Amino acid sequence: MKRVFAVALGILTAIGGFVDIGDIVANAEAGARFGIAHAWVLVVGVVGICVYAEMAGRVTAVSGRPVFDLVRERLGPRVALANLAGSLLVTVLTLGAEIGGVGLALQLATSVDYLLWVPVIGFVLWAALWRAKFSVLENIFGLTGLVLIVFVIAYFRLPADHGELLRQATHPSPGDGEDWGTYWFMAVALFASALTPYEVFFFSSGAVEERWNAKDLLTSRINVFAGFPLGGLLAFALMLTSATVFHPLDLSVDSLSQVALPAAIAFGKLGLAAAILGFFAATFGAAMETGLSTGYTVAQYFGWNWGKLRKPRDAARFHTVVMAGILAGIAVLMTSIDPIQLTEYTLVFSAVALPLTYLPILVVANDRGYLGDRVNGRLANGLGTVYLIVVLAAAVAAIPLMIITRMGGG
Amino acid sequence: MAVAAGAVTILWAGLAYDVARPADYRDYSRTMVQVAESAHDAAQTGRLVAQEQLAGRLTGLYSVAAYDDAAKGLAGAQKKFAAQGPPDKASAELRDRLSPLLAGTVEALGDTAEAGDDRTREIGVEKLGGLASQFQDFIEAYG
Repeated sequence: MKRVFAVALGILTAIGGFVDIGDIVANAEAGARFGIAHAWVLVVGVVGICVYAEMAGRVTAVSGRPVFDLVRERLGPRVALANLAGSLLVTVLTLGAEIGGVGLALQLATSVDYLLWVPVIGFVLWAALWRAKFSVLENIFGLTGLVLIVFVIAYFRLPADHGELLRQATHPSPGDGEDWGTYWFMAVALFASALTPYEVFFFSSGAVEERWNAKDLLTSRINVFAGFPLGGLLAFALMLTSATVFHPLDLSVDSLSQVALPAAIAFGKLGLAAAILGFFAATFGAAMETGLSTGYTVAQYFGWNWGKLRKPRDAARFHTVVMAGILAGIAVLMTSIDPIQLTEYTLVFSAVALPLTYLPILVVANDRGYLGDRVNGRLANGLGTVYLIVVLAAAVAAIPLMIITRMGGG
Repeated sequence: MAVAAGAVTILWAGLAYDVARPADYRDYSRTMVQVAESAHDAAQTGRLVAQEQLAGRLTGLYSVAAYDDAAKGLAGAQKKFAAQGPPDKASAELRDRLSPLLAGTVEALGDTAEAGDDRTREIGVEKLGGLASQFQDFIEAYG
């Protein structure tokens, strides 16, 4: 019974934890501008993160060590440094975007400018990562993030043109006022939002924090194959409701306040409150994950003590890096860059850095020295290779598309 | 290495030329369409927020934040509008067509955001809806 409860809790937190500011922004923007013509990208992205998160979870459960640690050992410090540099830059920028997202959610609830919230959020985030237990943090924000389900229910309350939505999903095209350049730019951003590098590092390091071993492989797989797709469903609901409310009006979405509107139209103040709470939980939860991931990657690369299981004084350098990451994220926001814009840039850079994250995982997941008989099978290798090609294509296309489409503006 | 450096230099020079060359009608109309799109979004968002306020579906604090976001979008459009002068007579006609729409949106959005009663909000919904349609016409004509 205890195990069933643990598995259920794991799935629920994976669902709630899947959505972050990148998913919120990219899906709502795509829905408003292109309807659900990008639904297939979300499916491709969710399958991709499942493939690689399963590998990362398996590597950690069997070897007892996080993926990044093994990447350095297996591929050497130079390759691991490239991996570290790419993922760290993207993770710190994502951390800034998430903190900004929390600020924007608080602005919607209080009407106080998000920039005034940023230092407060930074302090609370640091204190939470310093003092609170890993499982408590994961469960509280993962479960609270589930209130985003309001967007799934809202879709059924909104006056949607189901036939038109089905046509958009089955005949993907840019539609009026858009072109293929902006369509593919948005596709790359959506793909990157589903496969953000920090997600696998956090999943893998979190498995070590929760002391997973080979017996937990089933739990890991259930979390991945049930939690992530259901999390993807929440992201799809954001796209769907945005496509229902904004797309018929030719209205672009470029603020969090707009993203919340469909929930308010469907359920009034209660729906609005649920949407704002969901944004807060999703972005604060992701801020914690990215904050910890900053420390995880650096500490694992240099071989320092790390993790929430150790007392802060025993993992001082890990906590220092986490704190530096939070300060760097705050510094980026204090330039007064719009958090939504920061998120858009982060998604582009994330797309560029994807191969640096996923290629080493594929290599390590095939090493019998770490995994014995649990190395990738044909299916995992086949899918892993196909996704590596997709990831490479997205990485190569990201910057040219950004320039040609002027950041998706057309 | 030298080839890569050469390629980057040529790319950079191309980009510099593209940014620095004087604007013509095509560039200007493109900018004006972008301005109209941003202003259209601000007007539509303001209309939606006011409409939902009238239906009692929004909290006051959220409405303030949502109007602020719409106003910021509109301010960005105005900045873009003012940043570039019309390079010829045809461009000046575009400017003259867009200018009163922008001014009207600033006024209507401000009045609706500050409205203390439902009647003013209803007028705001009507005005902002009308302005959004006019921006849409502009975008379709020149986009």
